[in-house]
Amino acid sequence: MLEIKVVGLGGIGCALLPPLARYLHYAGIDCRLTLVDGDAFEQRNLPRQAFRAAGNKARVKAEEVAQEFPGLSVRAIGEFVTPGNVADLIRSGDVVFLGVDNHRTRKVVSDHCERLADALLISGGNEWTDGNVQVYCRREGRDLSAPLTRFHPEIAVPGDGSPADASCDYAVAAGAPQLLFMNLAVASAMLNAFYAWQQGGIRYGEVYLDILAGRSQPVERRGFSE
Amino acid sequence: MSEETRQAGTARSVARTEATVRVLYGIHALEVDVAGRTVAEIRHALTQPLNISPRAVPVVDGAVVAEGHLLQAGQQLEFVRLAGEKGRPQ
Repeated sequence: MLEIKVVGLGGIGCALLPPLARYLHYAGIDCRLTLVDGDAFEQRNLPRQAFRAAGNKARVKAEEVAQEFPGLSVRAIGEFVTPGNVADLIRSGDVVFLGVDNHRTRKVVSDHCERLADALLISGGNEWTDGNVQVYCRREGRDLSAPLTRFHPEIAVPGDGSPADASCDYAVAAGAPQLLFMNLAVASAMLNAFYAWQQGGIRYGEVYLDILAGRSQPVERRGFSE
Repeated sequence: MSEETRQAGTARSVARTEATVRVLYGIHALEVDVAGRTVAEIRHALTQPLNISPRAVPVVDGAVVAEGHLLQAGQQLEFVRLAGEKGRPQ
């Protein structure tokens, strides 16, 4: 059974989850979907995040998915990913969709995946009208593409806060809002990467997106084990 | 992308040949006649038109290189754009 973890249910996660769940359900993929987020939905999330009830994001979304797709195995973990719990949350063989807004969590997850035998980590992030998706694929203890940190010093040595003290909402409050369409574009690129992986070959390790330019640019990130 | 960047992407790039270097930054991909120049020289020339972050790591054919690295024809130089974070300008 394929274990799929969606970490972060903010703008990107909320855009990614409905088509992912629909695809998994109707494709009949033997899987379990785990939603991970320690944050709570609030009314101020509504411009970019659809939810039917207030409460912990992972639990609210898990309930929604379970109602819409009763045959799909889904569970919620209402926690932020930290160095202390990442080993319990992400295990060898997992597919991880990482839609967080901070480099600190990206580093925690990427570093952990480097210690696993098999993992597919698809991480998306965005600014206002541009963004990127990184794909870290590890198989039988070897890197098939680069970890998130290898060419990104801002992730390797994160200068931002943890999700417990800095979320998308914090950015909105600080005057750095995000655009729903950009979240959607990144989510779509993450799902495209998953499908490419599922089909047996993904030829890029990172893809850049710019919705104003109407362009995307895939870049190969050759994997190698050190 | 600014008008200046658009112009740089068309006016300064040339058709891909074995003598050119492919330069990437984010969504931008240029074929340029810069063989024999250093990474620092190319960064200096393209920083303004492509808005390259000073923190962008230079990678040549998959390996991180120093600013003094000399580019050879046929190579690919990427200045790795910083990962998206939360709406902050880069």
